[in-house]
Amino acid sequence: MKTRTIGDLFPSRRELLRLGGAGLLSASVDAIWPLDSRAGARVAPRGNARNVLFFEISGAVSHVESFDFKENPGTPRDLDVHKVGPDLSMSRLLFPRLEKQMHRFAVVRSLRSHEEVHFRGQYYVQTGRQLNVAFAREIPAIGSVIAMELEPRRRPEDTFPTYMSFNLDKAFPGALSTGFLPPRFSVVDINPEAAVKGMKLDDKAVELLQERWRLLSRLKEAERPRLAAYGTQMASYDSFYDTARRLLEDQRWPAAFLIRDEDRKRYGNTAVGTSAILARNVLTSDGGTRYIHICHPGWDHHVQIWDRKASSNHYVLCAEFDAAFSSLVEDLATTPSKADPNRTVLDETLVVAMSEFGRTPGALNNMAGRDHYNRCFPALFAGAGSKGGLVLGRTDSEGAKCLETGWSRRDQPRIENVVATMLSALGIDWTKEIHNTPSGRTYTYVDPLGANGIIPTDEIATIYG
Amino acid sequence: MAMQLSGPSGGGDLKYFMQTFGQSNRNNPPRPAAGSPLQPLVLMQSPVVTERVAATGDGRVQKLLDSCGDDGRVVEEMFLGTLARLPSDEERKIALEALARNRREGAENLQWALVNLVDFFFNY
Repeated sequence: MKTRTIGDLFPSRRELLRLGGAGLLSASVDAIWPLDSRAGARVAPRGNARNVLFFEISGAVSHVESFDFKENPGTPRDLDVHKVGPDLSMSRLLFPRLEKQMHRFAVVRSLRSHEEVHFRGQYYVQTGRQLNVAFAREIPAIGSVIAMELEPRRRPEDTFPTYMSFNLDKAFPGALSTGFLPPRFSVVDINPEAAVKGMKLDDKAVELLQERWRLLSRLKEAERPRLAAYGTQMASYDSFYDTARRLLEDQRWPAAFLIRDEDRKRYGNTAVGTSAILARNVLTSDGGTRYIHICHPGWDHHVQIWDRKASSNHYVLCAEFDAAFSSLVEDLATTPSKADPNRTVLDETLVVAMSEFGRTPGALNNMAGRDHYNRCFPALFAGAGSKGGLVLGRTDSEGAKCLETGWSRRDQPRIENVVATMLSALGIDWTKEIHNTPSGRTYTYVDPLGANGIIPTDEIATIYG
Repeated sequence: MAMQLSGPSGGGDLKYFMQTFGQSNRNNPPRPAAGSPLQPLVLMQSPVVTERVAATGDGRVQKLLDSCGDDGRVVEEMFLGTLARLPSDEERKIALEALARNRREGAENLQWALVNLVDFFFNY
């Protein structure tokens, strides 16, 4: 007879912790699988993109001093503003390089949000819906929904995670969880600076890792029956190990984390610049990553927005953005796709850049800054067949009120519609519903029940001309 | 656990390590306890782990090797110290084999494997 050890007590201790509501697990819901998933309305997803890259200008860029430029009493004299399109002006001082790339972008200037604080606004950006604390634990990030939808399309050589993010730990809500989806659809959120140091393994290190892995596998095998008692959550966590080891042994992974000095310089030598280089490397190596979220934080300029001596100001952040984002789009537009050498990576990637809301237009506030503003703000779209040079939607002379919505509806487009556009591009039916959620409440990918009533859930089709 | 601790002194690798396991900062709300493949990635190769399992100087592994003449004791202490339980018969056999092949490297590898055993990942 096998002697009992302290180890035999472990499953029951876990059970106790779970029942008592303490411990790590209580913060997440039990994953459901298989999903009871049903088609919603009749829509035809485009499937025109292999990848989507979402660039979150987090903390909210002042729209009237960026992509919906409006002369105002707060405008400094040195911005060197020029027309870059039929109805679009841009500052050459702030965006010297992006200004030359604007022919690649469709600019939608008419978005609106119902949120006006960062945490809720950024949650909205990551999930495509209003934060409801009663259900928040079961709501997955959009990227995890994409990872789940695209799982059947993964090829044997795809070792990279489907959903990756960079710098997302800097966003207010952090990188969100998989909600009711199994943890294998989780984001791999990369802290750019730490990752560049840590992801490189030389041959000797790989050999050592393999030796240690063999020992670990034997130990695991020995205790498999006991581990089975821990349940599916444990198995999911264990499966992360296989994912991680396959990654570490795939030569494309450390190669993607190799950063050349000239790139670092061209991308601006900042955290967001490094994030953009890594995102480019990941997309161009075609290792299976299909949705990337980059977070560029720090735009919350309530105070001294134009003070060059302030620790953060519009000049500095625009310089960071211009170097990182323009270089990224330039490189995607000139790198041939691995899947089809006649196309560029940008041809097969829908790039979206936007904030969670805008900033107060008109004169500066009493602290020489701008506050949160959700009634109109812009988004940039490029790649995957979207039509560059389009300027969609129109706001009044202050950038305070939307005059034209820029798409087929009289309602202004919302983040739900940006999500619909991204899902459609990846060939995902964005009206799908999942019925067996833990709460029993139906989860709709893009929910027609918005924060302020029923909203259109169309994609923003006008970006395709 | 990481998400309940205030910031550890020191930055760099340790800070990244803690953040990977959900450590929050003073401004932000606690993070949801979502697991991610990044966690084993870090547990397997962060210097926070690899330097701590090395049998050098006054490291724990070196101390165990110095103070326990018997490999069986080393294995037991390592299991107790890492997982707060004794090894099963099968585990003990595997661990002793690793130490018999090369005592120092075997001990380092065992310590690494215990930290990377899903029990440890899950319980701590």
